[in-house]
Amino acid sequence: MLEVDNIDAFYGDSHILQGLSLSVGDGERVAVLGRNGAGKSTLLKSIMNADPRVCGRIAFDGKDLGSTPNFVRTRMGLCLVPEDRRIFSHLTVRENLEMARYALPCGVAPHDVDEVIGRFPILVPLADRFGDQLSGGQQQLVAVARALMARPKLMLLDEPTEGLAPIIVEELVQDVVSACENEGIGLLLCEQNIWFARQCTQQVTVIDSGSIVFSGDWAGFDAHPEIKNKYLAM
Amino acid sequence: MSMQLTFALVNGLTVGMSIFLVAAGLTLVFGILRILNFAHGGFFMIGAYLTFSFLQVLGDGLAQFLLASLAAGVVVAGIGIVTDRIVLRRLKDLDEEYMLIGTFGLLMVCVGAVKLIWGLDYHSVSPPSEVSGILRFGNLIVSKYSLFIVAMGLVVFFALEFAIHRLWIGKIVQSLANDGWMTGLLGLNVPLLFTGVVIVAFALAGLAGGLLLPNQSLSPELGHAYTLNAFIAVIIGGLGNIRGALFASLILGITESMSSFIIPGMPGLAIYVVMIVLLFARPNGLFHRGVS
Repeated sequence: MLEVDNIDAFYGDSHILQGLSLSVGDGERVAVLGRNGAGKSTLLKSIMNADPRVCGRIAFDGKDLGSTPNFVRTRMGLCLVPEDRRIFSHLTVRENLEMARYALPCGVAPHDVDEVIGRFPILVPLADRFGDQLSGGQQQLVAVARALMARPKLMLLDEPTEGLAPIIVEELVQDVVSACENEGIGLLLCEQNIWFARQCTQQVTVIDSGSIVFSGDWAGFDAHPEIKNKYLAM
Repeated sequence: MSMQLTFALVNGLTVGMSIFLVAAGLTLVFGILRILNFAHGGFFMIGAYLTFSFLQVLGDGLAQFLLASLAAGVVVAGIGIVTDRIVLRRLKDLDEEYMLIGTFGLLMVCVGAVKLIWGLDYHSVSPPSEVSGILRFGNLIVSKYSLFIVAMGLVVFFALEFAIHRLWIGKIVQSLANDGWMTGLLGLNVPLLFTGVVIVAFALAGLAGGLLLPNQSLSPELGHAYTLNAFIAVIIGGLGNIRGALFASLILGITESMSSFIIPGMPGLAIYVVMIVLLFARPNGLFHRGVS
């Protein structure tokens, strides 16, 4: 479904991603692990054409994305949940979710907003609160719920567990996995929380300094403990 | 004494509303595209000249005058589409100094175009007969045209407030102003929305040019006259804040009018004192509530 073929990404003069290749199949769930600054967020933003300057080929659903603007990529079924959540503070939780209906691919029927909010019990009593009246954890759930409203084919989740209480992280696993399984959504998850990544995905890729240093399934990851020690230990 | 004060107050209200009519479009572009459009006054002037030409065909009358002003707004909005494509879109992601140079160049193009098309002669237009003349409230004398300007300012203000705070498109525009990046990632066509904002802002500039045409000399200098005060109003009111622009415009208008009554020997001084004091007190604008 998604093919990233030998891309380089730049912020100004900084060369962040260096010849990185990666693919995600239909409904497949892939984790990307790496330390801060390894290039995880840049990878997701490059896939969306949201800021970095990118060379190399990115294709989605067999179509070469080239310089397709980010809003078109979203409407093709790619949906990014950014690290900093970016919930609109002037909109209520319900309105934040409604805003995602512009992301729906042509001819796809929208979800009912209240049904999606209902999947996140914490959000139910907060539906009419404004975005700036939520805690970080609540905002993260809104960000994921908003992405589900977009009915993506592939969801790009950037460090969703950052700053979340353990109990919310556990709930997030349930929410993400059940949504992906029920609706056949693929997942590309950037994380530092290995436990969370393992619960949510089947495949794992480790990146360091903008290049891939490991790619395989979780059994393969466990078979090479040196990867974890060398590239992921703090 | 009190009668003179009241007169100065009413006069200040009219001046303030005139400033607001120009500032409204300016603050939209400033707040949403983050472009400081120095050429706004130039397009305001083109609106005034267009209205002048339309009125020569249409003749006298309030309906004709409103129609001519609206038509000027439409034509200037069309010029806005072209300007957006050729200039503004390219300036959007550059540093401020490029925007200043670029839009200042645009202002010179506007002035040059006006000189080429309408010449260097000064023109003047009287208010339409329905709103010319005066009204007496006891001893207080108010020109009908002043009241007309105040009314038009309120119409523009409430229309914008309604669109921004009550309509869904207003919520989208606020999203665009607060976080254009995320707005695009939610599938909204951000470049098209920007063009839409430019269209509205330019239409407001053209309309303001028409509405404020009577009672002032129409010359290629007109663009500069209002721009400065409108800029001050936008800055005091907070970038992109319509309500702030209205109140700041009224404060400026009343300050100017009162100061020419109280300290006639120092024209224009009070406005800058007020600007400095307000910027110290409310550096992010009159109605800033802290955006996260």
